[in-house]
Amino acid sequence: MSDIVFVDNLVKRYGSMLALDHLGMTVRGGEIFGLLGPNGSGKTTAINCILQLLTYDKGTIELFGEPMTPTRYDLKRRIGVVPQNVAVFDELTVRQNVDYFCGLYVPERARRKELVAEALEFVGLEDYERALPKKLSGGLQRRLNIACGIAHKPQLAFFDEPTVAVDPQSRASILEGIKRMNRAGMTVVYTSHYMEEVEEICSRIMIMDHGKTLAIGTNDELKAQVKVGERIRIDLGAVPGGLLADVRALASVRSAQVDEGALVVVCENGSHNVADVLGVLRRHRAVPGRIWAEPPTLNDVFLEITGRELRD
Amino acid sequence: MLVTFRAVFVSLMRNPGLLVWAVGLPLALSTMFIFMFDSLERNDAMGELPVVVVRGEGAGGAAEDGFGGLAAGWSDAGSFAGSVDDEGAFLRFVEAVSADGDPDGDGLLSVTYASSAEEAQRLVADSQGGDDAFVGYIAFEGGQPRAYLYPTTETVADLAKQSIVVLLLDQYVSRASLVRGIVQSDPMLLADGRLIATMTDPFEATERISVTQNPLSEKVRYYFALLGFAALSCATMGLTAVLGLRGCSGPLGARRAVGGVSHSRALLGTLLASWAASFLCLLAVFLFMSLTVDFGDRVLGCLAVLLVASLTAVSLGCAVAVIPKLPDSTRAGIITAVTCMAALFTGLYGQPTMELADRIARAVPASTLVNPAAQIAEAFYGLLYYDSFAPTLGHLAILLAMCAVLFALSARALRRQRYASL
Repeated sequence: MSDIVFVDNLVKRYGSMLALDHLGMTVRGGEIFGLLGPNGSGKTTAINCILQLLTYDKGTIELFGEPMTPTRYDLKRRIGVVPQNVAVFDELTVRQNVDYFCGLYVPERARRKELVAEALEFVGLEDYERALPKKLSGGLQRRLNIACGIAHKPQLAFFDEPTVAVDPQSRASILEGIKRMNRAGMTVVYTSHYMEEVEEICSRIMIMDHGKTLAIGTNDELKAQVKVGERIRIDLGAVPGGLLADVRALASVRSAQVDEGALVVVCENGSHNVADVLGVLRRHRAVPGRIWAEPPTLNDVFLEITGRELRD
Repeated sequence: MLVTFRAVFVSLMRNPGLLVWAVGLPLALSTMFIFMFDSLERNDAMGELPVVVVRGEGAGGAAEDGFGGLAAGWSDAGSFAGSVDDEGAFLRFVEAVSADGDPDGDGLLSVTYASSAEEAQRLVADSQGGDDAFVGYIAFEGGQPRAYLYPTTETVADLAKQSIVVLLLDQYVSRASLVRGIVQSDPMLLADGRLIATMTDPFEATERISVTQNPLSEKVRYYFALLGFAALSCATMGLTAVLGLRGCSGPLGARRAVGGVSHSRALLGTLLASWAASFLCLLAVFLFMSLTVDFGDRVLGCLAVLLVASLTAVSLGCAVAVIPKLPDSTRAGIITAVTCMAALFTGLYGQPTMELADRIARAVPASTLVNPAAQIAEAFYGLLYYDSFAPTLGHLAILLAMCAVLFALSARALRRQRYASL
């Protein structure tokens, strides 16, 4: 697949603050590309620069192999945008809103009518098409926000944290919708600070912080970059003396600590980490309660790269 | 562009806050004006004056107590010769100036006849306190008419009524004196019936004319000032519409800015929509005023002024919308201040401000040139009162020049504005 989005050496300053620090990224056609980072990491700034909503100090931005400028309406017509906040006309009905935003890309009225109907069906708002946005619940407003961004069936869509302040049911619906659009051929750039969402839907992920690219790759590739292979948590009634030292002495263990009556052990990749830790417990005659063993998360990746939690 | 036009137009026309400002407030002020001027007009209007005229033998009874014996201020005309010197001639004069004697039913007097002075006095006294109280009675005594007026509270209106009766009798006496002079100097002139007819009919020799396209009305000036105010109030529509288009105004503006329609086309659609919405609001105010105010028969001219006025308002709103780095509330405050100040110097807020506006206009004529509300009011004024369209066209040209300047400044500021407020 050819590159749909190409960003190189992008620099954006707000006064003395460096919002984007020589950022680079490439989005391939047909993928769901995740931009993951904590709040204020520069995700939205990067998207706004790509969309030419912001001037930038330095860098190259190309969409569909063409340089992107504020007046490249031919490129803009191939793009859909779902902003972080619900951005619709309060005075227009659901249908009128979708029709308006679709009309910014599709001038033919008959074609637009079909697309609007499809978009409303896609987000499940057919029964609300005559309602004003303020009469809709938060989740339905988010769906309207999405319908306005994708009604014209763009080749490339930017979703900027579309699930913020959304109930779990609507969130699941939104994520499933994005996956369906992607299956239909749409390339998606998805920003979020929810690592679970990014892990669930994105084929490639870029982790960024302080305007810089920290890591980029598939979910597995990113996790393979970190030494954390497994996180084991074992409930213990009591922690015998010397247990913690013996666990830490195991070859694959990177760290071990007691947290609220539970032994938490972070191990490197290995096929019998749990068995090794349980063997130490047996030697100390400690009786294990419940046991959890989790593979590494993107938070572990972020933690290892930055030294702090993604949600800090 | 059509899509933008439709969406912006509908959103403006469904925005209650904008409608209250652009239509509600002018309509409320207009309603207040209607009630205010209606009572003033009723006080000012002088209808037919009810009087009693003594007709027949013994008409010249003496005035009794309670009446101000008034000789109506006339000079001693002496005795008349010929037909004008008798009671019959006087009664014909009275009939000519009464409502019954006027072909249009539009006379000065509403006459009730009495057969004696005593009956006349009784009729006058009995009528007091009612809506159509007699001003007094007129009797023909010793070859001369005399008015006996009922004592009044000496309000301006009552004194004016009495003065009219006195002036009327003065007119009769002076004409009778003129006829007497003709009789003495050249009696043959009286053979001309037209001369006699002219002299005995007080309306024949006077024709009411107007030097303006429509009769002048003091109150209309206030309505014109109100239309100027209403037009500038519509600037909030231009402000809101253009603010919504700017990428830096918020998520909606940013989303519209990344659309596949060029910025100039989106701006044009937005401006046209706000112009149409402003025009409709202004038209609603104008039509409401037309229920009580006569704007003449130049309807198309009025619509043209409304079109230019609403365009001026949109250009003002657009210019304020593109001022960089201002909170929206400050922008709305600027529009409100400009509207109120412009209306102040157009004289909207009563007689003192009207006089102030006139004084300033005389001292600094340029102040009117840069006041859009004054130009709008003057454009209507010219349309209503001047035969030629030239004065109105002049004011419209000034308004269009204002629009051109404001749009040019806006275009310069709008160019390449970015969403840099994250």
